[in-house]
Amino acid sequence: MPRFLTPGRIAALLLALTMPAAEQAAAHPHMWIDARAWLVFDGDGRLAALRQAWRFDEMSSAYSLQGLPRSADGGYAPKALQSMADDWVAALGEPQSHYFTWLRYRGRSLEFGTPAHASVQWDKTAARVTLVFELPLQTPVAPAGAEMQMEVFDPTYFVAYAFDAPGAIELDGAPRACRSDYRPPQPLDPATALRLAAIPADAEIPPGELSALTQKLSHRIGVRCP
Amino acid sequence: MSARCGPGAPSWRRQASKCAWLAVMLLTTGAALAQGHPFGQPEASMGWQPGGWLGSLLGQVSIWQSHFYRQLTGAVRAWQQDGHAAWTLIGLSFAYGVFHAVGPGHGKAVISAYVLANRQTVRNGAVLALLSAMMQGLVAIVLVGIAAWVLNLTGAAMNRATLWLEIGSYALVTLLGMWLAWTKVVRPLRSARDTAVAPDRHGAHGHGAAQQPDSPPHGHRHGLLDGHPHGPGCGCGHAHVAPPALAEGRLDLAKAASAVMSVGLRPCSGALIVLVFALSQGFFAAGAAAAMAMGLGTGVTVASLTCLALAARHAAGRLSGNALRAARIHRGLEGLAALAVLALGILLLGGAWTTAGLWPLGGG
Repeated sequence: MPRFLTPGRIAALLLALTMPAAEQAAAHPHMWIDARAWLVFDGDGRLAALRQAWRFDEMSSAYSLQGLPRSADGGYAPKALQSMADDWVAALGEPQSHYFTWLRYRGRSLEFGTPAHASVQWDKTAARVTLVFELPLQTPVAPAGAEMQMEVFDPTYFVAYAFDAPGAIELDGAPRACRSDYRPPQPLDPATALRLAAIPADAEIPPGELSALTQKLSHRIGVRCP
Repeated sequence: MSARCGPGAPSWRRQASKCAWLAVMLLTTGAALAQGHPFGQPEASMGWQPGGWLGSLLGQVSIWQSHFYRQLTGAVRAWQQDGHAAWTLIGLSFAYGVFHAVGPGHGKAVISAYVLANRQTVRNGAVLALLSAMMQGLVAIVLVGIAAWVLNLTGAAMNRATLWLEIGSYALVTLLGMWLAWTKVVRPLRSARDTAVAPDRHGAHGHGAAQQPDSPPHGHRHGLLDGHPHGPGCGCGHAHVAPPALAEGRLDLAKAASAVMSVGLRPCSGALIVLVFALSQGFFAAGAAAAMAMGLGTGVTVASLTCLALAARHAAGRLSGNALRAARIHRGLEGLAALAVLALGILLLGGAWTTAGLWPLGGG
């Protein structure tokens, strides 16, 4: 036994090994989603729901469709796709995921009710699946006077979102004077890419207190009605 | 032999200490507790959290990795149209594998620590690294081949299979760590207590003669077959050989198999996904080629990193100045590396076990 290998030093090594265990590392994205969002208003000019359509990249689509029963025309049984949609939305509803969607108004977070209208569509030509779901607000709120902010991102950065398509963000049934505004995430610099990997996946991110770090990552949609 | 080992100039020493720090960083790889992702794709449950320049380098690597990964679908299709495009897919997959190995993962930590703890030669370290990475590719092919192609199981079922492979892999790391800790820490401690003069007893490995503390100046002699020090993929660029580990420097596959299996059993997510994609295109062979190319890329990179760890160990011994201390430092590093493998195994196993209960699509 070498002299420098004292019990204290062994303990220090073990501690050094244990420390990073508290951190989650999800590394690089493995899934790319082309997203669209509709901000759905009710008759009183209040934001009532957020509807989203997430179109998965081909590889993720193929992986998620693997083993599903196919119908005679080469498509997938509607029942199988529906159960996939229900599973996904249920898993997205776990507190650590929070549907990868947050909504803030006047410094406080607005909570969602039970998600509705979940479905999965299969585009055979493009070989891609799209998950559509709607998050109703527990209490509809009119974005008057101040900007309401919707944010979409995956804190573990397993999924990389893009709202690149023309008309990817739409106001649905909003009063005429309402305006939306989209701010893409800042281009990911290497240091941020690595630090993101350290965000604990089980942490509930307080929507009102998003760190400077995750703000870099999130897609922000602002909406305002004068 | 020592004259070829390096000029011993101060700049060389600086290099060596940098090398040593890198090795320490490799060994202090931490495990992380993975929550299953809502979209239930296979995801390794551990990662690496260095900071500073190394951190930004790895961040950049992760960006490059994504860049190659995203081109894989197009490359599979191109090959389907034109056989010559096979090289595009193979090249992209190889590059993905290289960057994958530099990023998070337990493979290189286990292999480096195993090689350090076990006094493997540079060549053996490189061979071990390559074998375990190729094994990873092969496991991915067999898993997807059987589960998806033959049995037509769902992605969720494959995630569960992957999770069990992961738990098996981490259990093997733990067992390997226990065995190493026993032979490198517990037994030497006991024999040191039993005998006043503690000869280098390594039981199962019989390193014996090569490590007599009185052989100047490295504290080891080179075996005949170790005349050429550098193995394939060994890119350390400095001309020294690690002490020959096993007699004749031959790799004892039976003993190394546990290390290879412990790393190779857990297929990489990227390989699984590209295999399933290729299968969905009716072109499984392309996925298999991509998985093996990823394995090769990973293996070459891990081999280089393992070589670095060995160079660092040697440098640490050499810097100490005298042979007796060098031998002690070598033994100390072995003990630390053995404990590192054990601790890593326990952490990984704990993390994977917790994940098993939390897998979001587990019931699906």
